[in-house]
Amino acid sequence: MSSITLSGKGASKGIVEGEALVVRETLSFLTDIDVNDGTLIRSGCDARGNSVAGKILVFPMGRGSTADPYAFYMLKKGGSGPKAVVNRVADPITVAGAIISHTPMVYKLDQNPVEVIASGDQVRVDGDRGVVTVMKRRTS
Amino acid sequence: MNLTLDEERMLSGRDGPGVRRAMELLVAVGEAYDAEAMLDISYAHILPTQMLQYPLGQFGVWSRELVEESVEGAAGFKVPTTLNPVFIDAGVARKLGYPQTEYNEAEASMQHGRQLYRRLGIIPVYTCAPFLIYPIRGGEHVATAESGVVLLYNSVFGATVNRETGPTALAAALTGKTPLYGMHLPENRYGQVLVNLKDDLDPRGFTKTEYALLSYYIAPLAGDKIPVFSGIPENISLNDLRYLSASLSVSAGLPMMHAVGITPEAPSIELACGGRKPAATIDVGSDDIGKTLRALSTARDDKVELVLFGCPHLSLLEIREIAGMLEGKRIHQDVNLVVSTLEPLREIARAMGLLDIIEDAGGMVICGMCTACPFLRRQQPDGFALGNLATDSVKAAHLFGAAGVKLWLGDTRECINAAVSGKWEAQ
Repeated sequence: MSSITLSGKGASKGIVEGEALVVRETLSFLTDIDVNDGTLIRSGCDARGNSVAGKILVFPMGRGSTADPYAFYMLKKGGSGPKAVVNRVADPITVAGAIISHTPMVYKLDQNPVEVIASGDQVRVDGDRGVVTVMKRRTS
Repeated sequence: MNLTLDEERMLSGRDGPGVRRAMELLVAVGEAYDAEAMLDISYAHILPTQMLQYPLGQFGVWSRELVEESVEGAAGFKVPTTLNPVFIDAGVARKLGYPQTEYNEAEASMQHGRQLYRRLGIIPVYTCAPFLIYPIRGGEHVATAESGVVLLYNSVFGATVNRETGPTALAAALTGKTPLYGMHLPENRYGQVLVNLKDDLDPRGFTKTEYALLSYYIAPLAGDKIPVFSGIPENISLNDLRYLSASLSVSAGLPMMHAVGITPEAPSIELACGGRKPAATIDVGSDDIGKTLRALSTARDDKVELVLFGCPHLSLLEIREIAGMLEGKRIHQDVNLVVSTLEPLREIARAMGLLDIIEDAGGMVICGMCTACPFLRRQQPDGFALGNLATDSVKAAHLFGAAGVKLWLGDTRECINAAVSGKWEAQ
């Protein structure tokens, strides 16, 4: 297994490890994710049908309404939130959602996480230092 | 970020854990935008989440917990702070047959909010149109999470405000600070795309609904670029500007627009764009307005069961216009007509005799309630359906349409006619 380290900024503190789910589209927690079980319901999205629950959720950038952080929080309280969020660019909507739901978040990494990380990779997110370590799955 | 001593002390917990968390959040947002410092704000407008978006069931319990955690130990808001309307009004719940169980859950959350925000010194306007009762001047720096008024503050009043989220607006109210980024910096406020009205489109005769349709049409075409409207009459009313701007926040999340000759920073197209050439021109003709109207009208049969005015909350002149159209008429027995505004304006309307006219015709005037929130899909209780809706609000049509409610969109006169006859008359 090879590992890659990406360095950037931490928006929300905490250190967690888990399996990546990579989404190539911008995400709104309010409209793109089912609050009851974490299923991605965004139309036209490759990862549609997968659940963000317990995953390291990697996507380019958040979007949505001013109430969107509350949807992130409700998802987390219900037990279906992501373990961490990795963004290329941080929108205040995602930063606020990650902080109030105590979910580690990193962004502005030295490589594009959506390109470098693949769904299924084991990923360690360090929100304190803004570092992401990717353990690539062994390709056979 | 460079923080002042006072800001550092808030961050280290001097004013309690709620203010510390608020400052941590503002610093994180500021760093995401490379903000160099915090900005002092003069006013904040918040979303009371437990009273508005998440009052019901387990969500209600969690949102109450969240708000309590967010304000833990805070002595009060550090700047004058107003708040959005609440989830539901008792009178309208009864009238529309809203289920008692859900009403009781909502009432418990609303009661929680009334007490909690009162302790912090809230100015309880309960409206999405706070400028109608709490005005601000050009040049003020403010924080608001009501996206509809963000546009108006930046584009019409000349204040500076970012499109805050619920948590950041509350954090701003608790600290009196917002990070210095985005719309608070002059270089981010320039227009980027030009909106050109074709010869067959004369806004001088526009209704408020047509102004809202114009911006609703251009919003997805502008994307994240600030639009510059040319050809808007310089004597346009503040109320019509509300509708021209509100649609941009609904469908595109834009924080600002320019209307040439109206926006303080837009005496000309050139100055609005900061001397740069607009990235694109969006041409709008009368057929575009018509197509947008038809796309938002989702009802298939002409029956109308609910006529809704006041998304956003109506001004006094709009209430007077509705009363004038209803005078001496009787609303159809199968139709509910709801006029939604803020409490002080309802009291003035009462003193003007307008409430008597609307109520004698069979309608109701409610205040302090979000006109859309309880009826959107996320919230709608099982077995409760609104029936066909008629409205003159593009914002309501967008929100209710997304929630699967069948509706007719038209101007105020067409909606009044539908209320009286119980049927939508095709144009």
